[in-house]
Amino acid sequence: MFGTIFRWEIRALRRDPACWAVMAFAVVAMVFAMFNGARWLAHIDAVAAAAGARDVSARVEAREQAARIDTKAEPAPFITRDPRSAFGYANGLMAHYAVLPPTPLAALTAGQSDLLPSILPLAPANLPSLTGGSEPENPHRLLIGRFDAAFAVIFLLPLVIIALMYALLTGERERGTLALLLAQPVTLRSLFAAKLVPRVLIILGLLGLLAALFILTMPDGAGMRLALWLAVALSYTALWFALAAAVVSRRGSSATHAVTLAALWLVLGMLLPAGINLAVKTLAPMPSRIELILALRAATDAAAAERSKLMGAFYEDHPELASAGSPTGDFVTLQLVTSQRVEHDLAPILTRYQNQLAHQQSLLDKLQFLSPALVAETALADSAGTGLPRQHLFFAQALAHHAELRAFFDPRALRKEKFTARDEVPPFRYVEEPMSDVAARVAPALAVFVSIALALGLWAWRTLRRRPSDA
Amino acid sequence: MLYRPGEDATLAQRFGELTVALILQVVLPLVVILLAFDAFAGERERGTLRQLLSLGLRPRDLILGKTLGLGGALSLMAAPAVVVGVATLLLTGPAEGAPRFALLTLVYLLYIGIFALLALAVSARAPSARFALVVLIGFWGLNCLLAPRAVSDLAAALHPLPEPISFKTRMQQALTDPAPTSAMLKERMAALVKEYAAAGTEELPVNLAGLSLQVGEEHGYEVFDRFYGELFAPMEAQNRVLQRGAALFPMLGVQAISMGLAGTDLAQHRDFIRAAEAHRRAEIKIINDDILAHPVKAGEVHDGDPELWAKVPRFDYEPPTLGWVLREHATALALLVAWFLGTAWLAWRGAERLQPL
Repeated sequence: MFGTIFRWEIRALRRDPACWAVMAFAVVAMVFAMFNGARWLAHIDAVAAAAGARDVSARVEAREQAARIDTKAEPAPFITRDPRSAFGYANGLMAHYAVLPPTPLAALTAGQSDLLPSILPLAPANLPSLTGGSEPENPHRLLIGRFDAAFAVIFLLPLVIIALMYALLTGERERGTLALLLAQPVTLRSLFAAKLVPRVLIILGLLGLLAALFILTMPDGAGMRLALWLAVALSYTALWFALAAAVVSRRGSSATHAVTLAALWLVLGMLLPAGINLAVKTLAPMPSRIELILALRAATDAAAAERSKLMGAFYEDHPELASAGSPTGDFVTLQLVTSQRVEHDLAPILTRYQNQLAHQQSLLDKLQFLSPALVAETALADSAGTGLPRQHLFFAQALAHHAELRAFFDPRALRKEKFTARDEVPPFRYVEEPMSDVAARVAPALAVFVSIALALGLWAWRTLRRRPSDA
Repeated sequence: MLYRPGEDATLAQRFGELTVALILQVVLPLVVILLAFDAFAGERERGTLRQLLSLGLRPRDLILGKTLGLGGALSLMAAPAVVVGVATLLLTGPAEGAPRFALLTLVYLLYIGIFALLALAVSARAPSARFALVVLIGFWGLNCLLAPRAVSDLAAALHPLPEPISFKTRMQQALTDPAPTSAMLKERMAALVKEYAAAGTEELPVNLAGLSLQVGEEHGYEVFDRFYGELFAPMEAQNRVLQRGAALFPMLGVQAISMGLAGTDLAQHRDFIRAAEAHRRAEIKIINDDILAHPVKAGEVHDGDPELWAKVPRFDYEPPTLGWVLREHATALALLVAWFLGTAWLAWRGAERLQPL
């Protein structure tokens, strides 16, 4: 009997213009999302390539300029832009970048990759900041967000599922055909299942189309990441199917079910995440960045006032360098000594911002489970490698590399020797996080989705015991 | 030092703020749809529409009545929010707030009206209440969620921003190019020599460091203006595309106008930046002129005194006028009015051709 109903349901769906309209909408949305994602990935690649090319061309320009200065074809610039000085080259002329290579899945989920840079320019004199290399972007567009495959999965697939599901049983009841069907030797449960399965197949087909489009356009797609991404997408859609089943197995009209499901979508997908954002920001408010700028000014003034004391202390620690400069200190030593002092003064203030952000994140880690959309957004970005954890790992590596750059340049700058070692500057190499870490971060989301889907499904199944009033 | 709010926020920020705008732009239209979708289709299904029409009721009276009833129900719901809004504005708002708030209210009335009239128009034509509901919720989803992102990405494809690395390199090269500054310096020096009728630059009774600093600044202004123009032009073009998108989806229009009237859009932010930069430039000019007017012997430094700092005017920001904001958003405003008139016509026609069965 199940087989018969299943086959007839497929025939009915094929004749239903509404079903075709919904599918056409979903396919167009997914193709558009893939097109957009591919463009975004190409853009990240182009920026990384431009950074690499600029690194090389800046080196060549510095070498040529140094040669011109040496042959007196050009007057020597001030030390801050002098290619023959380690200080001037490192801070004024060098184009040295820490580059976070994009994963192919950035095409599926832009995540935080449009907000936090994958290219960080590094110079020894300035401490890198997380958004230091941010691209200019239209703030209105950042507010709106991107139309990528993750958006299609998180927001549009639930709408498609709602459109396919809202009148699953009540449609038959309202047309009066449910009573006829139930007069046959069929239980309400098997009728429900036979009508549900073709709809599940449609959604599976849509996700399959997405995966096929991705594999076709990105031949060297990262297998494990794609598998995780698809697992999150599948379990998230399973949750929405279970939610829809739980609603439509209740009494009520098609219209009531459509309204209930649309309201759930609005609350779970838009209102709760925005509310959680508000809660997180209210419970752990971020101090204003103006405070940091004021503190920076105060620290710079303090360091300038104590200039001679600082220089004295420096030469006591480094007597071997004292002969190289004038006794009162020279520009480069002064710069290094004062900036060390300023960084020392600012460190506790910077830590406050980091701690508060960590506090926000730990709140979010708990609260996010109130909204499946928020969990899915995090998990999809995480499996695509465009989430915050990978970005923070990259930043930590960039900071470590920055220390390496200082160790390379600062002694050379202080010795005031002629600098030619432009090709010996240590390069940055991003070390990818192990996939087991990614899987461990995504696993709770998968577990939550699957268990909620099972619980709701079970509930719907219990509700579907045949009741005399159902017909 | 440059910071982005994104550095200090979690991923939840991507879902936006829970603002009044979110409620008005997204939640309220859904409420309107739920109240109105069965206005005609429901009456038809229950058979009461035939009764109503058999009483000789003119269809236009019917639609007016339905619209007014819907409006009444909505204003009851909105009344507390309006009271709170007006009170907040009176207690904490700026002086110029009242006309902006009044206009904002009008724009949202238009927006909500569009949904109410559209719901009536669809309900009048729909074969069943269920059909009307699904069509309306579909449009709501497209309008509130899909349209902003789709049009925003389309706008970015049409008007891409410059590639950041080479943009920065070009700007740096233009800034450090010595040719324009030395040409400008030569010209200014010649002018000074003429002004003081001196024999040469060495005889000028001024400190040339002041001139050199000012020339360096002015070269920077020219470069920054050019490059920031190159950066902001595509952003503004993108925002214009988003505004014109209101032709298809009213959400895009109301989003733009609402930000404009609240003074939180890109154009008004840029205006503030422009004013602050103009202030900074005036201050730098005062300082450099002072340096120029006070020649020093080698090794000496001329410091400013309180009298000099008193010359720097206060920074009093004059925000753009309401007229300026309205001109900026004229397209979106016109499109919203067109939407309202269009949906009103659709609802009217729908009522005129109402089929009782």
